[in-house]
Amino acid sequence: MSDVIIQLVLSGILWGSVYALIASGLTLIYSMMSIINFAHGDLLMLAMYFAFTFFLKFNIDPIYSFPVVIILLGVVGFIIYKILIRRVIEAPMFAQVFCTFGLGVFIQGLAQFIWSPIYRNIPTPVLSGVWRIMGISVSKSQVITAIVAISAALLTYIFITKTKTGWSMLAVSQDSEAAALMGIPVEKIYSLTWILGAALIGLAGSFMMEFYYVYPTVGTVFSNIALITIALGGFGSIEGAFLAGLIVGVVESFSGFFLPSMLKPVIVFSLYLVVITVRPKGLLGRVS
Amino acid sequence: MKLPRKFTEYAILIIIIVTIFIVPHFVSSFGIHFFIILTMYAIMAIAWNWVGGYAGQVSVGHAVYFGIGAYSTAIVQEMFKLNPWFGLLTGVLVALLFSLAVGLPTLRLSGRYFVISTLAIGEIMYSLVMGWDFVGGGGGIYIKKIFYSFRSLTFTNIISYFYLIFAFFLLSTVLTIWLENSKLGFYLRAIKGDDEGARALGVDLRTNKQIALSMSAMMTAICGVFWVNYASFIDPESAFINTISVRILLMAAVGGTGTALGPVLGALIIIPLTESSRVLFGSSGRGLDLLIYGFLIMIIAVAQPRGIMGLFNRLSKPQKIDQELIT
Repeated sequence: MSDVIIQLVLSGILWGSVYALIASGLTLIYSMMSIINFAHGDLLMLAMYFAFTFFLKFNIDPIYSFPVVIILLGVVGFIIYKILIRRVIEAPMFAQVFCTFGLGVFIQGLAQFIWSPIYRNIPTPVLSGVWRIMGISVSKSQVITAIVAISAALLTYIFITKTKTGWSMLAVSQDSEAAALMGIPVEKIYSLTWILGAALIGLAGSFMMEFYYVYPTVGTVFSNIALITIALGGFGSIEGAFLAGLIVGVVESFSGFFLPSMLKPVIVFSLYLVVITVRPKGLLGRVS
Repeated sequence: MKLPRKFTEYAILIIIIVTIFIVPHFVSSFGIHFFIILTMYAIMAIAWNWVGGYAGQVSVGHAVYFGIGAYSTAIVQEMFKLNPWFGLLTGVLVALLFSLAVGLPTLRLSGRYFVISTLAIGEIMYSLVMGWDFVGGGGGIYIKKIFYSFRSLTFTNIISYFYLIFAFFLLSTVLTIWLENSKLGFYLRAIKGDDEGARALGVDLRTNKQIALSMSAMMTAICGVFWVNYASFIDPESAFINTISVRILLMAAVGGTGTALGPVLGALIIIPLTESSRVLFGSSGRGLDLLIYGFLIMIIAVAQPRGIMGLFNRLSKPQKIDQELIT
């Protein structure tokens, strides 16, 4: 029994770190400009399709093509910010919600147009097979993905808390007008936030392509989990989102084992409702 | 300045009423089917607006109430063989109880946490019904129509269905106009504007938000009851899927939230758009309909973040804008 529990915790943490990585881009954008990006999952889908296309056209595995996918997603994030988000930054919260919804629908349509609605995966990923350690088996691709996810989240955290640019970002997130008066180029910081947020999702998408399949609406599933994750962790808290990602992963892993798989989302989303009843600002949310 | 705005609203309402009574005599049964969908979605957008627009409690999971109405009716009618009118009553009651259960923990949350909780409840209900074998799981429930009469809410000709849903549309419009001028309406707008300020002035936040949510839930459930009797079939994909929630939200958003006419205008734009682009481009399976739909939503969000009604208000109330600029 203890073997089973260790196995469940481990596979929960492996998935949880993927959720944490996906949520880190979302929470970064939220904490900087208070915009909940409902198209976040669709950016993930786009990243997965990019990785898939590199495999299909040039036979390059995602573990080699990921730097290019990250750059491509960074460019996409930059374009989205410059063309769309910049224009709704002063709009009511509600307009921002439906604007990013529209963006998500648009990206889904684009994906269906280019890649068709068929489910695709990479038949022969480089990272295939499992490692067995003391009766516990873990998939190689998921272990590598988890390591990448945790390092990326740590690097982002260090970048924000230890570098000068990161400090400027923190300043803008606290008070953009005061930051502008201090000579911080707010516009550039916002662009950078979107580039960074999208690049993180590019990384997540590349590595997920190693063990997951892609279709135009795959983003919705992960988008919902990412939204729950950042709310569970507390809006605006980067550490909270990471912690919540791991918790969601472990809870999902346990409920998937003890209950029919159909009920997995029920437990995960109920967890949010329970936590929010006790702590209305999430686990590590700042009380404003 | 209040009177002219009211005047235009009522004028446009009269135009809509006249058009809708005349149109069914000219178009094919497919055309009437389209008008039924349009009217049903307009009602749901109106109902969403009560809680999302006036009270500012944005719900991104409103399809749950549609699904609850549809499923309670289907269970009552198909499993217990009761009259559809009883099904209607059950659907509304279950929606009321559900909205109370939902409102209790979530209505005290601040804006964005509330948004995410509506999303969570939508996902929970979808998965639960999917996995609930008693109601057919993913396969759904078929309703056998036996009697065709007003007493059993089933009709042989499609026009009758149109008039039925239109009656509900009138009910929701009357309720909206009542809400706009009632004490509740003022309370809700106060809460939306500044909840702490409203509380300080003695407005009971929880109760007023709860009334708005429950009203909205019951009206949306009526649409579900209607749909299940009209389509004779319901499954999780057509009842609880978040595409319905998103569509409800977008209609209110595009038209203009917190206005009486906004959701109706939104429905008049969004439903023809989605239905026609689905018919014209959807069959290609290449997602052109989604491209156009998404693109237009983004355009509206950027060009007119307060919805189409924002444009009207700007034209008819120039002084208001000046005040906003000063404060």
